[in-house]
Amino acid sequence: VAVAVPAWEVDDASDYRSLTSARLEHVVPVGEPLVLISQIQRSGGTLLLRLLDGHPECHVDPYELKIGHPKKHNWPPIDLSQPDRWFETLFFRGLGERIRRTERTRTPYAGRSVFPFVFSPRLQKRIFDAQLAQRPPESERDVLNAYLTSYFNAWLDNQRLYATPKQVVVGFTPRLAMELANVEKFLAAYPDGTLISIVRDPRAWYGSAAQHRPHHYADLDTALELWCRSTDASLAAAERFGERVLVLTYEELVLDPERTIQRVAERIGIRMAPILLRPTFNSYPIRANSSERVEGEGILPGRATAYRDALDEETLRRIADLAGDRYERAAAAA
Amino acid sequence: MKILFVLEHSGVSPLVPALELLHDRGHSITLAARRVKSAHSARELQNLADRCERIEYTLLPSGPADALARATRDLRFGIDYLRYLEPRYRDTPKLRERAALNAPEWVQRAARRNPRALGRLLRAAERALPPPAYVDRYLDAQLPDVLLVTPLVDLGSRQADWLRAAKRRGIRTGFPVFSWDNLTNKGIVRDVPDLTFVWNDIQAQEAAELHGIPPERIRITGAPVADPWFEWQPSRTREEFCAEVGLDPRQPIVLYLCSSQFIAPNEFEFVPRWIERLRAEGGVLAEAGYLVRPYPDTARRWVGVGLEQAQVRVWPRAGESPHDDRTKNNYFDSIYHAAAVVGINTTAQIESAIVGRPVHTVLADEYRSTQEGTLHFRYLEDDDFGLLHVGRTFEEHAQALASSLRGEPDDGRNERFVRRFVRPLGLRRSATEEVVGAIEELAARPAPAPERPPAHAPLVSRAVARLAGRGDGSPPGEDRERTPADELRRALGRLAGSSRPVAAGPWSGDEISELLYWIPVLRWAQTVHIGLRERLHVRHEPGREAWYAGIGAGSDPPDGALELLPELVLAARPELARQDPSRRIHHRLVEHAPLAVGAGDYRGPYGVGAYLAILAGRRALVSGIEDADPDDLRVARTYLADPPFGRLEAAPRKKQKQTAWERLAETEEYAELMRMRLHHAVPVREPLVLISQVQRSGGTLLSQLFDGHPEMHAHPHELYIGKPNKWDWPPLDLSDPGSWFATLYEPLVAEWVEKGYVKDDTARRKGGEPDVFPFVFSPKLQRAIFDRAIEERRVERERDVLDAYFASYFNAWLDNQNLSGPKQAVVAFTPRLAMELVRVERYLAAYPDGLLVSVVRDPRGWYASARGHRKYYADLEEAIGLWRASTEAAIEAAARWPDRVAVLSYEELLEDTEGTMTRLAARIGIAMTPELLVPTFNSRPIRANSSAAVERTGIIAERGSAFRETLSADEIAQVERLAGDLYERATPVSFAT
Repeated sequence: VAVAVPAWEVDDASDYRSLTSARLEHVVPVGEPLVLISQIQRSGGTLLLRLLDGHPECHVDPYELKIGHPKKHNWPPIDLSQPDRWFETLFFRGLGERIRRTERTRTPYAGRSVFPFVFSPRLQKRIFDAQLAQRPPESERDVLNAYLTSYFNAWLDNQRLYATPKQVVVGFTPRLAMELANVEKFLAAYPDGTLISIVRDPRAWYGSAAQHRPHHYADLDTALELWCRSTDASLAAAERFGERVLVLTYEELVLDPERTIQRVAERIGIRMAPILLRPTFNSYPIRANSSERVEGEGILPGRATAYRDALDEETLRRIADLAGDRYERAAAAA
Repeated sequence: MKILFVLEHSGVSPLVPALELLHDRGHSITLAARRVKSAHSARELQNLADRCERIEYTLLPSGPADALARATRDLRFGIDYLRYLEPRYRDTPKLRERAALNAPEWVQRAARRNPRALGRLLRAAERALPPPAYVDRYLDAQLPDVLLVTPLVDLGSRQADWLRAAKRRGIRTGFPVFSWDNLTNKGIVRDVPDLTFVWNDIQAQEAAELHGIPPERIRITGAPVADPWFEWQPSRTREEFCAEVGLDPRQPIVLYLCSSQFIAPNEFEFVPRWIERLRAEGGVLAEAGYLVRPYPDTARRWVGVGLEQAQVRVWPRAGESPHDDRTKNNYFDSIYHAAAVVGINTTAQIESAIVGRPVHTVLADEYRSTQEGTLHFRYLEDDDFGLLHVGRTFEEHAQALASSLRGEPDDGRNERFVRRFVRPLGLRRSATEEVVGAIEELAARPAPAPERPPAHAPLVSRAVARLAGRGDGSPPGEDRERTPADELRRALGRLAGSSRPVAAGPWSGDEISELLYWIPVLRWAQTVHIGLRERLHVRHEPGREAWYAGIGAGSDPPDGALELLPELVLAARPELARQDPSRRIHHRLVEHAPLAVGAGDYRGPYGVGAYLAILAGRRALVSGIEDADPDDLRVARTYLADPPFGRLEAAPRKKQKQTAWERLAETEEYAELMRMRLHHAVPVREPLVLISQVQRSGGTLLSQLFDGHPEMHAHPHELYIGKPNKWDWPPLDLSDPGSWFATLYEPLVAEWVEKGYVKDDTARRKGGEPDVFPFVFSPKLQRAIFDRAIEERRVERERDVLDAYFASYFNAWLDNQNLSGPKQAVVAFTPRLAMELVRVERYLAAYPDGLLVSVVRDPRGWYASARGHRKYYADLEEAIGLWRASTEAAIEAAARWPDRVAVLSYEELLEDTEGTMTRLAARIGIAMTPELLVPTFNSRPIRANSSAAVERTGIIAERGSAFRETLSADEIAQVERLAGDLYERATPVSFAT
């Protein structure tokens, strides 16, 4: 082709179309089962997501999975009779901001980590439409597959797109699993899906949550009620859906990460690999999303017991009263 | 007298006075051009023929581009290249580089030993070659009294055949030197014409010394092309001129005359800086008006350059070559009304001196190689007769320019120059008359005796024919698949070559395509193929007569007409739309003519109505432009963006509710994505591990094994930073930052973005289905990252530039699956680079921490693979010669730089992949990981690039002994005999860790 204008001098619109066409020509279909991590915030969901991030057999959404509607922790209502609504329902409206933002998180201490996220919302819509045109959906799962295909392919600097074979898609949505109805819908859409729910020692959890969002979690009784709801829901889901739900404790994840992550790998059907022990964001090493200042990268076992320095005896007693034996039951289930 | 004038192209404008004078004196002239340069040059030819009954024009016949013709051309390119190795060209690197572009590699290689002896040998061989039969036939049919040929000295020029054929027939021959630089910076004259017409004593000396033309065959005439400049008068007053271009008539004007792309690339970047610095000097330099006249062929590059400020104008904005009264007046008036003229190195500086304006230049670092690095520039700045006011520093330049603007008199240098260089026979003596007189004198001489070919001619002809027949002479483009535009050009060539009527149309596509592609192609075809218009009959829909005005001889083709099928143009549409608008006009296929329809802006939906408006010079404000075919928009914005056409613009949109994913417009989103990557660019400073040896040895396999390793930046395809050939080490000139990126840039990446990456297109051409991989890469982003990287560091050595380049490459590659994480090395594969130790030396000088890895393959397996892969390797002796050269180079490199060169055998790589890669990883300093055992392209498994069909991915261990099935026992024995013990000597070198 006689395109001899220096390729680095083409106009922006041409370069944009050239890049997006190159991606559209080679879309990687994403139809693998979804592994959904979900429980109350500050329980270690982000850490588990980061550990799975770099695994070549996983498509991992590096942010929270925000396909829920009307809130992120609602399972999205896909009406198969209204195709025009599908993308709008699943699309995360804050995505436009993400591609302008250079901060990973608003957390002040971890906020120093800065990662690129080269993502085109317009291209995502085009890929989604192309997927639907190629294979008109017959089920909710088909729509979700088209959506996740569009998401992972429109993410242009996704560093784990091409490695094959892929076994699962991994997403983290806090609180979704706190309602069994949500879990039911998720597992109906993904009969091959897995819910992973993490339960954290209520003392450590409260220590972290109260420091992270004081105005949300300052009231001990209200906060612990949330924790109890989350833990009860995890236990109920495990009992009801058996092998399709995996309950972990935060403490086993940080204190014995190798054995715990191996168990996760076995359950979701991926091979154990050293990358599973290194938290990453799109393969870049990342510091923990901790409520404390973090200087290094990797797992922080000290976080399991840090609450001892932060909570007084009375608070600890009150937590023990409110939490009851839930944590022990969760640990036994784990 | 009957004159046959052989021309390269139809641009005869400067010759018209001489041709008319010859005609007026009763002579008959046939102008035979190899190609048509542009529509207006074709019209000029036609006008000349209309005015002068004894002047006719025709297309010069051409012969087949067969192997012999290519070999002959190669030989000539080689000879022309060799002249630039002579001591007088020592300081002219850019001329040498240009000549090297087309010179065969074997000449460049052989020239390293004794270029003079090689030159003598090649010239003797070239002189023995007979002219092609079609040249003989044409001359026999024409039987001219005099054959004139110009420019004759283009690099590798085919015009030499015409001169030689005429001399062998005893026809008088003359060579009018067209321009002032022709004898110093192009090719050489191969046969001595009977008379060479030169401008002045300096050219006479050049003709004798550089081209071996005896002084008695040289005639000084002055410069006929400059004659009109002594006659012209301004067409406007100063006030009228300033009002038209938009400058203040009370202030002096500095006219900047741009030079050609070769002399001054990126002048559109240089000039804004130059103006800014001059204005910062204050005084008259701050007040003056600055008028920039773009070079016609590259004027498009000025579109969008931010120079729109008070007292600065680019004019004519879209560029203009002086070819008729209006455009000549524009050019002349620009110089006439200027107080001073500035340029880098251009004929326009001579023309300005004739008009009597002070002519300045500044010696700019970026143009060092095309100012003082050319011989002809030295005449302009000569101490005794040069015309230039030379600013050796910017300050000196500013000072001299300010003096000229204040009207301070110069020292008579313009007149001195014109008397010596342009009209050496007297300021009032017309060079045109001198040339015409000399041609008549030549014609009056007795016809020379036919020259006999040298005694060794049959021998040489046979040798060249044999060499050509081996297939090695195939030009670089031969392997390229023909594109639809190539097919269109070939079809038009066939139609033009016939004498039968041609029927075209009716057009079968949509109306926009009809206006943007079909009609321009017809217009172009009848322009470049002389005589086609009279035979062309174009059928079209009723009511569209105005669209087709001036095209063809009618619309009702007679029976038996050949057909020009619209499908050919339909298929070539994308290529036509995406051509380089800055290339010379004769390479363009899209040629529009304005329509005369309606008035005022067009407002309405995007469609054919909008195009009719802009073709009529009206602005079109359209809705729905986002749904337009991008190629159509490209044509509108590239070819129809400037007068006489109107502009196509999107009408302001009514505010409407935007969806969340469309909140940013495409270009805004693009800007954000680019900003994001630029902001987070990962620096690349690791040492380069370079894999190199002759092809078919396993280099691709080894590079693909490194591909997914987390500690390496693995360059995913062959490294093409070498210039002029990929296996050369890149010639980075640290003093010329503007050239760095263009030198290193790997042009194939843009093609892969479009078509996907394929290791070897041969399979696709043969109907196979090779692995095609996505390649999401932005050259524009790459340039931005490169520039940022260069800005952020102090460039002190070649390595700094290479680091910036690799950083730009790996970061602009958006779907690079291995960008993050700590890295230990960059790894890349360039075949053949290591076959010359001098290249290895340059690589290791740039990378003192680098490691060269050379793979040596069992010669039997290598030969079987190479032969199966390309016909190039069919000759067993030659092929094994290459293998030996590669292997010897690897052994020698390992002996000379034992710590920095690793040699390994292909067979050990195949049979013990894990052990071999473990040792290699240790040598490089990376961890042994599973990735090193699986060949991948950007993390995707890839099938072997084998000469045999490959069905699966991974390492194919049996390839090591596959030669036993494809080579005969005799061939194996012959390979073993020719290879000797080299393989055995190479393999113990392996991993001298």
